[in-house]
Amino acid sequence: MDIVDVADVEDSVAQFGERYLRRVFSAAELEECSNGTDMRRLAAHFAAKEATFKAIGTEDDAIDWRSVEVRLGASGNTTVELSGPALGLATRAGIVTVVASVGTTRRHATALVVAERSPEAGPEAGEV
Amino acid sequence: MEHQIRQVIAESARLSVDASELSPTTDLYAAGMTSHASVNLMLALEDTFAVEFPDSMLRRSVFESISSIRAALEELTSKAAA
Repeated sequence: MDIVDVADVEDSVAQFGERYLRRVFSAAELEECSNGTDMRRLAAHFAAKEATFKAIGTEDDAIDWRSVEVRLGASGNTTVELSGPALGLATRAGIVTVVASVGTTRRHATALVVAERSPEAGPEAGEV
Repeated sequence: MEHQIRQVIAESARLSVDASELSPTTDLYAAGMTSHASVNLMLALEDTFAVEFPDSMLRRSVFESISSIRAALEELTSKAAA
């Protein structure tokens, strides 16, 4: 689970602009957030990314934020796609499904992510 | 370098304690730095020291303390000078 203050995202965009947006969000995510101008949606994406990192157990692994791509559907459904290092970590941990739920208020975005491990995953796989 | 790092932390890490009171090994996350604030810290350090953190350095431990940040910056600046 993660919670992000929408004002913090606004401050980051104001201070770092494109550098912040391009380091954290994929092109598809930015498009989904009105090309990086919808602060509440950006905060929701960030919360879902961080909640995913926690769910797959990144600990001290080097993970690019863009390797967790969050898509917020119009009907409220949220999907998470892993790639690169995040996908590698999840695969090693035996994680087969990542389910996310995101909510926003005027001030905050929250995300709850559950990572489901394959029953065949060995005892050495990371705890979820 | 430590003074500059401390200044960037004070401006970007949004800690619940005064940055001037941090020891070199104080855990910044335990001192209140959120994951989102760590992004700000990384970008502000890049601006201040004219470096870019590669993906391989995007680890929690790199931004965990003044000492770990200093070690990472020294590694980046020495590579740039080589």
